[in-house]
Amino acid sequence: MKERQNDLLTISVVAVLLLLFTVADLTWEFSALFGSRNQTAAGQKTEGTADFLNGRLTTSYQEKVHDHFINRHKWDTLRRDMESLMGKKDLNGLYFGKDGFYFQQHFPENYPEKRQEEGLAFLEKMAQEQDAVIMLIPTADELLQEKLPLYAEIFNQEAFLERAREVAGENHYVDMLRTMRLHRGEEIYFRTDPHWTALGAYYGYLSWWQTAGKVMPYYYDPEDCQLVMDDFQGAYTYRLDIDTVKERLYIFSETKKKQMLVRYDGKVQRTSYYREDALDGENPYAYFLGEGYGITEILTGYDRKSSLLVIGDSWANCMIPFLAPHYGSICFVSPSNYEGNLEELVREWKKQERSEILVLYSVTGLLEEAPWENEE
Amino acid sequence: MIVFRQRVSGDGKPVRGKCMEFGSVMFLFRFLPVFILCYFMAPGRMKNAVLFLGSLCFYAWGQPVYVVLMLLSVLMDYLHGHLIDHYRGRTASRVFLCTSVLVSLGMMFLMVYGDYTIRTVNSLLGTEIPMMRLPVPFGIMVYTLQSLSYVAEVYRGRVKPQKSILDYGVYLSFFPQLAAGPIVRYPDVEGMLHERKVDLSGISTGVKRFCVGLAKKVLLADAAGELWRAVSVVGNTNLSAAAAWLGILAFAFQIYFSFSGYADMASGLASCVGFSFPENFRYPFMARSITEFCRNWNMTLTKWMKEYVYIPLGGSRKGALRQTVNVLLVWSLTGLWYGPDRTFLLWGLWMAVLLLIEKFFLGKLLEIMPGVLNWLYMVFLMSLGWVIFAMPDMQSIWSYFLAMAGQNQKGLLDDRFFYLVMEYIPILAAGILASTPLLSMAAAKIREKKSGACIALYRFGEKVLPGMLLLLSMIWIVGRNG
Repeated sequence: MKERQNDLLTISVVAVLLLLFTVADLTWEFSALFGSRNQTAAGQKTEGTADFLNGRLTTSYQEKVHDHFINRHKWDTLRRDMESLMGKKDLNGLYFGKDGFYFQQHFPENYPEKRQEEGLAFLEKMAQEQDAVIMLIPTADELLQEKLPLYAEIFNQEAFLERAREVAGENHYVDMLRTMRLHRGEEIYFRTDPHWTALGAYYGYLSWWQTAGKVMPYYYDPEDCQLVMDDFQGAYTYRLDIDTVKERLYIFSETKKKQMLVRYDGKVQRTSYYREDALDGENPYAYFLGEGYGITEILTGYDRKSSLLVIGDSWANCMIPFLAPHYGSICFVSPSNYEGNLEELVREWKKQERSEILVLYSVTGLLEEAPWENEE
Repeated sequence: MIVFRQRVSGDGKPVRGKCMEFGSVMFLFRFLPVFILCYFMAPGRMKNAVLFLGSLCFYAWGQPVYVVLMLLSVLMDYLHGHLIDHYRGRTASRVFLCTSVLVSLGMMFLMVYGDYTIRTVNSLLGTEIPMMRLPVPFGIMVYTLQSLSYVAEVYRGRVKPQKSILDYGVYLSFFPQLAAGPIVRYPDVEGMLHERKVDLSGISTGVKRFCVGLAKKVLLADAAGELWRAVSVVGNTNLSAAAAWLGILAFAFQIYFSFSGYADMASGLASCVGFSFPENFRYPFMARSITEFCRNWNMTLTKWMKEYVYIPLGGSRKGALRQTVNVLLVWSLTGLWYGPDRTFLLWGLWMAVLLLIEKFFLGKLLEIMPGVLNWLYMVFLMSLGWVIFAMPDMQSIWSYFLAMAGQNQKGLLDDRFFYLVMEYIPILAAGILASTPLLSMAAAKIREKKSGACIALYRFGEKVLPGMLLLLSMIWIVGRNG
């Protein structure tokens, strides 16, 4: 009799769990069928017999059932929290750092020696043949190693930067490792985004200005920063599907004052460096000059004879507003989005008078985007 | 069959049988409740019809078109069984046995090994025979062996041909074991197909077994798989020796807990509907020799190979040379059962060679060696075997061996090893615990006690543990971490 009761209890617990969630989920699904969640269904492609026979229909239904399971988001959070309790310190290519920092996992094996040599050859060519200034910014994991999880392995950016300095030569090289180390206690990197903040870019600008031997035409006061939003959630929050971590987004007020014009890929035009529309998207960092364009041309509004070609990744977006007062126009080419030949573009650029070139990349961005491949 | 390393067709594109995973929302919260309700609501004589239809629906979920293949197999075997029996003692009986075997094996060969063979022929002869690119039918490696078991047993006269095509359909298509076995021989379930007893105790045992199997697959095997992926993405030449050993331990856990988890789920579901399936794993990682490991690993496959290949070929009765050939052949086939690739074949040969060495040379020495040394010997050789099993080609096998020997620039230890150990320590600890009989021994010890807090806690835990494991598995199944 006792055994029978035990068996009944075991079966009941499991059966109730399964049936409870089945009924709850089915109710949820049916209510959604007549609610807003299914509004897109009408627009979906109708599956045919072939889709049924080869299993595509059933597979897609299976995914739909999973994705729309009752309170899906809470299950995700529950699992993540439990894994975190069990000691998991990374997810989706991100390390969970201390003090609310997330770091992209830059493993040494992602940057093999051959790739590094190609990168160095590109930098050497740009510095020595095109008289370009080289500015490579170490990413947050290199600077804030004490915030990484214990034993987290990262690519040694310092060693690469040392080699970059050698091939570029002192006159063409902006020592960003030293600069960022000087300010490492300040908010120079976002916690939830792979980029540097406006403050980080400001220190970068100061460093560039000293190396390039420019006269500082405009004084930016870090104390006079404008708070754009205090609930900024960088790209990492979208990648991890978390909405609890928020931070502040500042810009330097002065960079907004001058009338200017930005032209993206020769088509779209805007009158500000800053894109309010990007703040709600999956890459809110695109607030700085947008994203995904091959060529961004900027008429700065300053009466200057010289012009600048910036070859770089998205890290450049944040610093370009600081460069504006030095030039009448700036052309920012992002080789990863640019479909033309970079070498030809540089050749044409150099034909102009008083034209300068700045290569501005994050260290890992340079090696990942491989701009030299656009020359082939 | 579970595919741990995606099988690759001739042109390098991965091919695999699609199915409804046990550890999926679709199975747990749609298929299973409906199936169980229908089964228990159906009157006695309709239960097999529900089983058969349920199995066909399960089977059709991934690749509906292959239901035709399953139905054809059922029909062919059913007819062949009767023809073999009808012409018993005459040549025709043997002819029908041969045609049945040829059709079953031919179908499996075409679907699973076709492109691999074409690729091999093309590379050897320089020909350009186009690939077929057929999707692999789900469960074909299991049900083909079951089908062969039926016709062979009918031919031998050990069982009578099945009168009801429905009952035979249930035997061949029964969905719980299609994913990864156990491979049930026809004589083992012949009686249960027609008449079986379903009681509370059987259902309770089945429920417990299913929940344990689900947890093994979802909580342990998948996590071990993540650890294995974290190691393998580093690249063999960038691995320290410690990380390489950790990786192969994770792979061994992944493969073991996947297979034994699926087998537990299959046995559990079978028990709920009155079947009793043979055991498929008996703590193989506790073995003290390769021979013992093979005896306790995928036992139903090993038994099938012994029964229908090794013994018919003469087994060990026709001298050492013949036995050597037989062992090599059986284990080559076993290797190829896991996948159509030369490294699976090589794994089978590796196992065969180790078995032969133990049989002819090391047997006596292993008997007198201390148990710990025996166990270390088994772990070392099996780890090398798992490398062969896991790697896609010979070059990768060799580079992984070098990493295990500390011959890479990373040497013996690196930060990656410590990082991964710290991150996966609960999984590794749970894996080690679950792959040993320690838990069941502890449970048995507690059960011996008649009273006390310990036994009360145990009794309570025993009742709610399946539910807790199910809930935990549900969190891992529904919640996605990426």
